[in-house]
Amino acid sequence: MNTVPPMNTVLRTALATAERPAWQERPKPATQAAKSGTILLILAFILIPLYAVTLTSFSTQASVNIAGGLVLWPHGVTWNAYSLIISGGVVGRALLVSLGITAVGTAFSMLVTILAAYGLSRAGSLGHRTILMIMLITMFFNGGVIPLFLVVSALGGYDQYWALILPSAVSVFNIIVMRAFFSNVASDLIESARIDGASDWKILWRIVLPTSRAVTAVVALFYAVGYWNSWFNILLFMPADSAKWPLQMVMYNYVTEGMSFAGTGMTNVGATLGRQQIAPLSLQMAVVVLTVVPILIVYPFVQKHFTKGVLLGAIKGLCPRGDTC
Amino acid sequence: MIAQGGRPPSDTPRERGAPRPPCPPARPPYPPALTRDLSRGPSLRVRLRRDRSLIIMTLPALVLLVVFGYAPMIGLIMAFQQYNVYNGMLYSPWVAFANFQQLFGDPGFWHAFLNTLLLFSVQLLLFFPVPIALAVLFDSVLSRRLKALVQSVATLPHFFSWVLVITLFEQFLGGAGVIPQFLRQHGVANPIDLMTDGTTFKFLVAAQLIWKEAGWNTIVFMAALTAISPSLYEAAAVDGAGWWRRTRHITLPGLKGITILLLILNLGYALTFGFEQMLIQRGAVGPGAAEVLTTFSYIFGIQQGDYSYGAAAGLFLGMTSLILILAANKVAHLFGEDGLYRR
Amino acid sequence: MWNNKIYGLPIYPGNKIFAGAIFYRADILQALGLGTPAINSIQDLYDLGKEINDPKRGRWAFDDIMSYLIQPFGVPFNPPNWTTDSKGDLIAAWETPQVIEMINWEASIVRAGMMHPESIAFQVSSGTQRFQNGSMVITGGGIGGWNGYDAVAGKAANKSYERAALPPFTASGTGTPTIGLGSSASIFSYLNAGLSKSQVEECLRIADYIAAPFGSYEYTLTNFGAQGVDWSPSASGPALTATGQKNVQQTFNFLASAMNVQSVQSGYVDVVKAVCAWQQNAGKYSYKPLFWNMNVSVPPNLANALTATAFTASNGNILEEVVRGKSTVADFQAAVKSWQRNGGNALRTFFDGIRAKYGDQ
Repeated sequence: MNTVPPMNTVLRTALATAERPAWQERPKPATQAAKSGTILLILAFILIPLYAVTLTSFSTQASVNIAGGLVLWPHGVTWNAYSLIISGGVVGRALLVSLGITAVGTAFSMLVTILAAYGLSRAGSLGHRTILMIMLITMFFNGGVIPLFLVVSALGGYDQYWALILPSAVSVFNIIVMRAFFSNVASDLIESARIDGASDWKILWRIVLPTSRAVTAVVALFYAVGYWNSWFNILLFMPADSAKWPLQMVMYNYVTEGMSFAGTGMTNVGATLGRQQIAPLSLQMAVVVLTVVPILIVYPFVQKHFTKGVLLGAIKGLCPRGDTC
Repeated sequence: MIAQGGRPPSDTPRERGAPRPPCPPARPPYPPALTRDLSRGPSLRVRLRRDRSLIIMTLPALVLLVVFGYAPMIGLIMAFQQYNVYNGMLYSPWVAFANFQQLFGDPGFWHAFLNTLLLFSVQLLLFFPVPIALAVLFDSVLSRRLKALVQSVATLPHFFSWVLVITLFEQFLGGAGVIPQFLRQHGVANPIDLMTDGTTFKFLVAAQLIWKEAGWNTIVFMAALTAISPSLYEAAAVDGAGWWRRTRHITLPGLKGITILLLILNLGYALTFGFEQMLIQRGAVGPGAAEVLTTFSYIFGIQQGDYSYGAAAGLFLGMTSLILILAANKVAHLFGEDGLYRR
Repeated sequence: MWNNKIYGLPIYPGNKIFAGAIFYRADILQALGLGTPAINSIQDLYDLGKEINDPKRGRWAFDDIMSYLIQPFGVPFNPPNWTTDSKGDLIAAWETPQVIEMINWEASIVRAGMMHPESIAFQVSSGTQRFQNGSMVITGGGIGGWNGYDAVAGKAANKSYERAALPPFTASGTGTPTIGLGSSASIFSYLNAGLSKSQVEECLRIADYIAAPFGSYEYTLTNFGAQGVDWSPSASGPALTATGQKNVQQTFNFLASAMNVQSVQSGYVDVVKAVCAWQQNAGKYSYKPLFWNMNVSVPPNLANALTATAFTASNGNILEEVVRGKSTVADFQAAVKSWQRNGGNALRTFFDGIRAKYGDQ
């Protein structure tokens, strides 16, 4: 049963209304102007380069050549870059692979993280500081890429999907964040539940999780972005086997190697002609746009969750003593 | 362990016969919910039985970390060997601390070390406060839709790669970029090429960081902001506090907890600061300005094939970072904050 | 084994007979009234740069052409990077006196503001675009990049685009220019010593057939099989039949390949003519550098000294730092001494041994 303290209703209303609260003074026009000016400047700083990137992705080769790089003034517009990428066929498959890995990976990571975070969050529980220290150490020491590769391949992970998920499934940073939150959640509720004989599993499932939709959303976002963007693991554990490649790898190759995916047979006349081609800039920029667009699509949905979410958690997590922090 | 009822008496030695220092005032006992009875403490077996499920819950993460975190740490042995690709880890000669001696005797290493600290400090001063300020600014936007729009746009650069960010900076600020060309056409003969200037590099780094990450980092602060009860603001406003006073006495203290947590975590990453960002620009600005410990380790270790050297640098880095983060945490505790984990 | 040396069959010989050339935009020079430049010394090149350089109009004279300045200055930067000094001893490219002259010269064009800022900033990937849109007039590049495709791309930016190359010259202006030959091939195939005599002879016969100059019949036979059986002509070239798809694997090229041909992009015959003319001219000045076409395997502990990333790394090395004024010549010389200490001298002794035993070609 979810008992939400009454204070949240006040905040909920505060969020819902877009009007100026009664106690706030009417802003002076000068401040208003300054504020709007700053925000416009910030938007400009970000949107102008973004515009350049997008415009370049739609530009013809001639246009790019004239500009000598990123295009700022349109000279010739075309869909070529996008049609080339999409008609390649590989992209569709890679997209599905990426979505799959992100979904499965995030779910798995969340499961492991929530369990670990709760397991470590009860002050005074046996060995929790030791275990926390053990985990903390892994944040700073790693044996390097080669030993990791050796371990994974010894376990049979080369060219397997699980090699993209398991090695980086646990982020100690995220565990710490979640744990800090769990430590402060409705402790009195938990205590009384314990006294009533409820097991820790029940407590986690019935009390802690429902009040942590917040931090759960945040950490899930962090993991999801991590999986979606990761390409280093792919580079390490997957051979040049286009079928299993996630989107990031396909994109990475377009950008750096200029590989063409027409690949149905070697029609290479000689090593000289084929190897020199670098992907045109418009193609690279199309790749960038395609990687950012999904985020733009997903983000609004997450963000709603977010500010309200971390809010609920933050009250408990950051302000254990109630109103004043 | 802190017994109920107060702190242990100061343990500075006192002379025989000197009066006892007064007992510190009694502190209210911790709410029973937050502590166990620590003065006696239940036996190990009882605690094991009670906390069994908690320990089991941590097992999956622990197993994964042991397999993929600790097992590869065996690779750290390379730091104590004269690692040779042909001999592999089993047969490369053991040189104990020779690599470290070489490392600490290398002026390039110390330069990289100092430069890392310098760049990190500048970043801490210039970049760290920006997300906080931005969060306060965005939060004051009243229209919810506009607030969401601004926030989403601000987080986009986080998803660009460093290669792209630096290319963008080059296109706009570089010697042949939009702004210098504009200056040239309006009389300035030799506008500074910010992208290759060693002295201004630290500020360029901060600027790049701000552009790329400030927006993303506002998320956490904005969330913390919404946790502050509006009734506090209302009361303060009624009492006559203007905007600045309200900010200073309500908003900023409200962000204290999260700020300190992030500061500590940042400090832990101080020494491994900026690998990709520096590596890409190292050629343009010169290693004098751009060398950091991670690039040093990469170039003089891995790129030159001296894996042992790189491993030794990495080991040193990891050790120092861990010490830094624990020390920072201790300092936070001294100030009464929770930090990474509660005392 | 033949004459105590292992010989291999060269495959995929590249266009890298010469490392490359210094290119310039002939059309831009024409437009500026400078005609075809007569560059006979490095000073001529500097002066030409001064005439062209006009940052206000978005036109810089030079790209980072260090890799191609090795020709006029005579710095032997072809792996394994050895040459002999006046006493006949082996010295490495970075130990020669002329390398310092080369670095200093390029530093002078940077100081004079004649190098494109993006080149200074190591924005290598957009180099071709900068040349094609005219913001950089003089660049360096491989001969392979001088072809019809380049003309097509260049003309898309500028209808009068024309790439031309400087013939080899000497930095000082006196003496005959020299240009080092690149390896004829960098990949070799070897025949197993365990093969029977008749197998070896058959392989050599096939290799002989393939390596000879060829026409369409020989080419299609080697790569696609027999016409009618394995392939049939189609609009885009030979199309494999069902039998062909099963049987044809382009493996013969791994045994031996013919000399590379310069192919013509339709409509751009003059580009090919220019390339061939340049190569014929350069051939007059070519010489075989030390250890040319010898495949030398260096012991593992000397491998670092051989690659010498401190001097050869493409994303920034001590030479490039001095050029950009980030390090001094003294730093460079210190790096050379460090290299000598950390395996350079041992590497020299090793190659001395090779020279004594096998000669240097």
